[in-house]
Amino acid sequence: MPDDDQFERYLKQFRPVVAEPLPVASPRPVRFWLWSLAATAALALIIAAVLAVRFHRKPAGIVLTGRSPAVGQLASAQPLTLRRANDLLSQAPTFEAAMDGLVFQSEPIQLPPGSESALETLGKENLQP
Amino acid sequence: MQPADADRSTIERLYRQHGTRLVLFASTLIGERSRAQDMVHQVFLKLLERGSLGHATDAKAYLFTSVRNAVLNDARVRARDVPLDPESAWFNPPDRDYAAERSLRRAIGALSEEQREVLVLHVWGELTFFQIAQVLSVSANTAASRYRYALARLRDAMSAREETNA
Repeated sequence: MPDDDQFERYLKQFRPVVAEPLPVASPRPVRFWLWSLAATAALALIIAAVLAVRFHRKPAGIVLTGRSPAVGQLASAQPLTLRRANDLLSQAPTFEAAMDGLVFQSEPIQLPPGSESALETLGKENLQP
Repeated sequence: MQPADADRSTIERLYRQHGTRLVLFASTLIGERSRAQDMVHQVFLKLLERGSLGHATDAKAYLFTSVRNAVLNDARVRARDVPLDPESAWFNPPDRDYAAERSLRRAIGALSEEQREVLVLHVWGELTFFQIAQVLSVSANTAASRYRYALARLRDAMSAREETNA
């Protein structure tokens, strides 16, 4: 007949079945919040970049293939006059590139006094059939 | 000694430390392990909600008292006609002797509730008789006396079962 202590030791060999974890979400570690912050910032940057590309895209239908830097400079620096139009046509590698240069100037330009735009001059011409 | 106020991590740590013992204790009172587990969870969820152990000076004794009160306040358990669930094991037996585990469970179930409580609290809950006295609102001498009787009855029951099986 075992004594009480011995029997108690025997009983302690029976280990209670481990309890299930507490059904509650543990607070997130600091590292989780740092990663979340970084991921959110990266996502915001990507969205901003996509929006920027969309809003600054060139108008559809204008193909600027073969446009030389010289044409670009002429197109953006000076108002469009007959002389400039001639220059564009003579310097551009192709006719299409020259036309692109002309079309690209979509904003109204204040002409210096005494100058006249090419379109205005052409509009005044009396064309005989 | 634990501080009266406990933050979330302290309460979760207390669950990790004592959850298994508390579930066993509740199982021996209820007879059904899954319900015992639910009750212990409820006790801890309330503690987390409250964020404090009240005025408790002994966190371990406080937790066992809380679980006992939760069990005693449960309407379904009040009927005291709770059979032991034969399917859910309470223990991992030595040498995977599951027959001995069933035998132990039946022997514990056959004890009176008072003896069962003291036995489980002392052997597996690892509470002192002084702490058991706090949990059960009895004197430490009464707790020790109940324990000796419980141990003797359990030993007799298990010996008798072993002789029957042999």
